[in-house]
Amino acid sequence: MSAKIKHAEVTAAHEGIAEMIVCIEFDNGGLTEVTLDAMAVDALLNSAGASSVEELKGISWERVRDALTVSYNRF
Amino acid sequence: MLDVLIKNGRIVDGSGMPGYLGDVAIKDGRIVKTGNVQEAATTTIEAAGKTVAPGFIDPHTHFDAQLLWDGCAKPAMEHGITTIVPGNCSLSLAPLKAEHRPKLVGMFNQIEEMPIRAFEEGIEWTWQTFPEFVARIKQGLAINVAQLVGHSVLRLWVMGDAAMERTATDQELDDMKALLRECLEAGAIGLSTSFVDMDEKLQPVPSRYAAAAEVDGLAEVLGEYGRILQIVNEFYDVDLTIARIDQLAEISLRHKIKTTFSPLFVNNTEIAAVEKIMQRVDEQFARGAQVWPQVQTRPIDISFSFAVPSLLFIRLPSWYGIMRFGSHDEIVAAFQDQEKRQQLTTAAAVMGPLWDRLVLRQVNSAANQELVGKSLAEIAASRNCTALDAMIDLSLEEDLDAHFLAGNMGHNDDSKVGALLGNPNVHIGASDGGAHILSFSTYGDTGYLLGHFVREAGLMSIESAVKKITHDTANIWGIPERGLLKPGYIADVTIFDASTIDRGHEYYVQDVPGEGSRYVRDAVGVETVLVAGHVAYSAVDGYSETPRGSVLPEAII
Repeated sequence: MSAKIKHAEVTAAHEGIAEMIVCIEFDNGGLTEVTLDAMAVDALLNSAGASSVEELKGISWERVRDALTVSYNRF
Repeated sequence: MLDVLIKNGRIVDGSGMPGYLGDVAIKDGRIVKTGNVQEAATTTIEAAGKTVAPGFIDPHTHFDAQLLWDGCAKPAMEHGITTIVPGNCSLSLAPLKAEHRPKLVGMFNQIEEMPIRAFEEGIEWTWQTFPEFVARIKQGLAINVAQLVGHSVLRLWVMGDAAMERTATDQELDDMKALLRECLEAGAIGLSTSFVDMDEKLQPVPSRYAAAAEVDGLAEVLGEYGRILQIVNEFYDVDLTIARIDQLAEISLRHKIKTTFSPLFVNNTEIAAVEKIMQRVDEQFARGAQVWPQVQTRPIDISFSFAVPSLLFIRLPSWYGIMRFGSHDEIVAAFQDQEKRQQLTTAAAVMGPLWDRLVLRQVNSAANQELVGKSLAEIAASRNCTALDAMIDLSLEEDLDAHFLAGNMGHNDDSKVGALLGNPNVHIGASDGGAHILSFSTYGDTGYLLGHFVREAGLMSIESAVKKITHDTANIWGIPERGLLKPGYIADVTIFDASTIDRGHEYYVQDVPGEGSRYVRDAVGVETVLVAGHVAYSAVDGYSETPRGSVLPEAII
């Protein structure tokens, strides 16, 4: 599987903080959206070597998975 | 002789039927007649030009602690609310053993942002059991309370520390079921649980350690009493939310109970999510299940200060980099350095008009207090600078502890939110009244519904909106004899001006025990509120000194 980030957007979370939603596109054109908190976004930017949200486009879904794991594991 | 006669109002009775001009007669706390009433009354309220509706019911609140120092749940009643449902999201103040009080206070602090000092200075812990708690809150209760029992506290009572470690044994589940029965017989409206929340140690709350069979077993008890189950779903994930809807549907069908989940909101960057979730809700309703999504009326605002990194700045790498990697002193230095500051303000131009409409929410210095509540555009005009410069200067003046509000950043597409609110399978709620008090105001959602969605946007009729927050809510939650202006019903009544009703501006006020503060909104256009046939609040005279609230439903004797 070589799903990639199609785009990413900042969104307003229920608790009144900013979060980010990344849209991942699969090989067959299917789309899914994943919500990242601030720590996951930090991890994703770091692993992708990206300095802006636009640079996340085309990044592999595995980096998103790993970024979420970083966020989850802080607990 | 009647006790109260409300004359010449436009009666919107909660049924959804068209409003009509008439009178409402009240005696012994109940409505005795509607229409044209000629009988004399001890008290007559002239309501010409006003709307007379059943008292509003707020089904998702966290007023649990506040009720112990404020039986009115201010300012909820000023907004026309006559019944509140505390105890949501697996957290209630009873049943609770003395040794678990610090744990519960920690969870309320973490999840609902209730200050610990408010618990320490505002509460005298005189109860442990649910019946004892009901007896305590009845003292001085001005608003009606339909109290949920929190699943997390049931687990703590029965399992102790193991509640935060593992699933329950068969014996422990039996003990929880017996404890839940005791609560329901003492007047609890139902059970709340959470699949999302974290405790003060950032560990899952006790309810999250429950196996599906435990939730089902407790729901079986709810079925014995015809009571409701409320959950916090994984609202950040569409697929998990749909899985929870399916789980609730099976519970609803198996035990013949109503269930509700919250929150559901229109996410501007994940538009399809609501459609997918509502499709599954509709399918489950078609099967006969009752799975009510709760939708809030107010838009979601984002708050931030430069003391904590916010993703609001993710599109500005130079800003986000400083916030993300810089220490407090480095951020201050960057703002003070003219060259660096110029680079930052130039880069920020890409965010366009956002800066102008940011609102200054909170500062510590006396000198800037008068600016709180003003937009950065207003402040910039008075300081003869740009909004961005005003934001940076205020942050420096406040040692980075200046808080800003980016309003209407989510759940703010009127057409989509309006359609959702009007959906017959949607329950209007999720206000979180009494919680998140240091982040935003959780009061005035009903005013926003009637002012914005009904009057300004014209997306709902007033009859439909009133029905949603009165009769529908009473039906969903099993609150008897309330929610309609109908002879025989208890006279909880809200009289308001449909041409002005709204939520007022948000402001910060110090009125929480322990010298605490909170964000609140005053009501606009709500004239008189009656609880059980007595004037409990009026815009002219304020609150009644005689509390008339009840705990609903009454205990089973």
